Amino acid sequence: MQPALRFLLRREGVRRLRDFYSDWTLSKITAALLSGGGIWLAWHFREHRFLSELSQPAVLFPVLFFSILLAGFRSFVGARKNYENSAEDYFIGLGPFNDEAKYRYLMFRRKAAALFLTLCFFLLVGRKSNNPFLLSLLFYSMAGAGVYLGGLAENLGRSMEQRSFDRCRRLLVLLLFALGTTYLIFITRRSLTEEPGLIKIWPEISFILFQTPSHLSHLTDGPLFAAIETAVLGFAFRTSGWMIVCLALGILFLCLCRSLSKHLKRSCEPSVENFSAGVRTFGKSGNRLIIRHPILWSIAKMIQRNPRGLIFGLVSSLFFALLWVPVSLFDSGPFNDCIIPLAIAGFGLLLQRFICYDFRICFPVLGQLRLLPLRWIHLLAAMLFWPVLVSVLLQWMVMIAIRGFDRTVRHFWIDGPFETVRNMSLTGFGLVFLLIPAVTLTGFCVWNLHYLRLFQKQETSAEKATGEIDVKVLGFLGLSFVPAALIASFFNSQPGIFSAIATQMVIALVLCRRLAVVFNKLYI
Amino acid sequence: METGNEKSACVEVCRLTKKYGTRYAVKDLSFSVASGEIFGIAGTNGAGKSTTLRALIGLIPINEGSLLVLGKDVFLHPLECRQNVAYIPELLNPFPFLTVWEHLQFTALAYNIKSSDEEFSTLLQTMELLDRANQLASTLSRGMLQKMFFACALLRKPSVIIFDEPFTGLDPKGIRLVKGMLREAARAGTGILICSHLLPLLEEVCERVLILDQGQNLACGRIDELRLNQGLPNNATLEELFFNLVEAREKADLCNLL
Repeated sequence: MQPALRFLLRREGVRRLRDFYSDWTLSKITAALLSGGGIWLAWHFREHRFLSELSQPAVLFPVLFFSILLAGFRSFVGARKNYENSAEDYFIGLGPFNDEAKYRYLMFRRKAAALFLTLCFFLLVGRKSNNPFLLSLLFYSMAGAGVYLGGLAENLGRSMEQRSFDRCRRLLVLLLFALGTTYLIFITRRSLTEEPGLIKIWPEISFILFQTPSHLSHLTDGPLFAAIETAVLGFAFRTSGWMIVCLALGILFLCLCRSLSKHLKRSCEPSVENFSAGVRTFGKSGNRLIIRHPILWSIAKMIQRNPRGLIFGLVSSLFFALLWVPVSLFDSGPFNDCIIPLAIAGFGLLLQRFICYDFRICFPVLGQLRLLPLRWIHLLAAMLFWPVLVSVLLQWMVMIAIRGFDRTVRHFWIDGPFETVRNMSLTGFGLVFLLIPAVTLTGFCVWNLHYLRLFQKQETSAEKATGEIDVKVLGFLGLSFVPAALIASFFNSQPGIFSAIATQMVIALVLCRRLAVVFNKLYI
Repeated sequence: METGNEKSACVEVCRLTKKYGTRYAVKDLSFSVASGEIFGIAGTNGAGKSTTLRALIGLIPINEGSLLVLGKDVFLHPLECRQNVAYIPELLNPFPFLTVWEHLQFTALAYNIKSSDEEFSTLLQTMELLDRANQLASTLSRGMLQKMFFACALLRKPSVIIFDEPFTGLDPKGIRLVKGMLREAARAGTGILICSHLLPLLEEVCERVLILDQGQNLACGRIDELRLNQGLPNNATLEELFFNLVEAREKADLCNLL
């Protein structure tokens, strides 16, 4: 590689390591660990009458239902973060947004309230009820509590404005991080040495694996992910009934969105004066819709901004959910092997979101890079090097973890990771490892290709948001992850996996070339 | 086509046309810059100045015409052209994770320049940035960034320097410094192409100017020649000359419309 690019990559690597040691990253990891730890704790004491009821299928299935609803809700709340819109700042009670401390304080208050409500629910409602519906809510709340705790730690620190508190804040987060890690390792080792437990806890593990990252990533496209989560969990729990219920609800929600978006399409922006007076209205005079409730207003605003994107996301999610209904009807056969590829696909998707890398972040730097007397392939390699490498490593780790939890390689923690990897490569499962870099590269190429193309063509924020969803759905699910993973898993044989790898490599190379052409021609 | 007569042309723009959609950003524009010459482009907002400069470095494709740097087509030989041209854009975007010193190191590596730490120090000292050497470039002020990018450009000793708005964001001391450095680089044989809205500074620094309006060449040449052509007195400033040309153009457009 060209020495200058090597220099740049080295410096960027150092910067990424520095970034890792940031409050934000550490608190997210803390949140994940606490969240995971909470559920493990529940499992650990599963013999307890109350907690044993939590792990019953009758409890877990409604969790799926709530996950889709709450993920959808999270998507709206997450999408509200628009710091430039002073009207919205009035909505959240801050006045014109010019004070980060105020904003942080508000977020802190919100999370504290959420935690308080969760604990109240746990203590007052959950304990006295044997209703699976309520217990499932409790189960969900416990998972959420970890996230809220992490958020609390973060916001508690951030609300301390004085520099003298910086060290204290970092220590607090590090302490939580260390405690969470120790706890999780301890409980994992202890649990996994109990042979029969592993098989029993598979649904719980699925839940942790699929639900926790969703909590973390503050997804803005909740409906899509919720549907995928539901599909995956539904399949993992071998149920089809709840899938159909979720589908029906999804369609209902879609209809609601469509009718609401039609109404809001003609609307105008609410004025700041209205907000300060506590009145939120949409629509011109004569066609006014007054929305007083802040959550409803938030939903309406989201739909107004991006009705097409939302509908597209929902339709896509329904499609994917629908895809898995017949799969969930089978309790055995080759479809069972889909769990792992799909888990990788789902995690890959979440991880990409977590890493959140696309060329748009680097557009200014791209301008500088394009001035260098370097060939396109060098520039492209430099741009994609870290994101692809980090994504691949994370996916490998996730894959090992999933496989480690799987009953066929249950001695993961006992034998050690290296032995497990060797076993995987011997059984052919390791070939999927080779698929991951190609798939990731394809994903990043598609992702950036779409962004580069969309950046110029689409002017309004709604169009861009729609484009983003297009990219996510088509880029990752449609073009790269799922087909390759499914092919590999369906054949479940070495030739099948090899053909999938070869196909994916061809796609990756073609897309690389295409990306370079667009990259070079783009007006930045 | 106007040329710098005595010296060889290092930049040649011939019948350049660039369209955004159906709108002409630059239409049928021709000029050249000689080695060792400081050439200025003046024009209103949206006149096509930055588009011309970006096309010259090959950042944007053109619709018609040819762009030559040191006799080589920018689009046929992009790497050679980029090796010889230093472009400093109006919007300065440093690498966010590199310090000022590392930007110089990066430049040296990218353009395969054998340079020493002493050379870096001298350059930063000249640009009054030595005390900021270990600071992240992204934390510098606009004026300091301007000077850092200029330092990187000078480190390369390029044949052509293209500088978009060189004086924006600089304090009076910085402006004086940049003017001096531009003149010094020109004396060393570098062709310099700058565009600016600050007409008095252009008048002071440039040997020849091109006045652009709506993507078209209104006038190009030495300022005294242009004054003469327009029938303006010898003490008329570039600003007076500029408005004279632009207003004449607007009148002509109005007449055509009627």
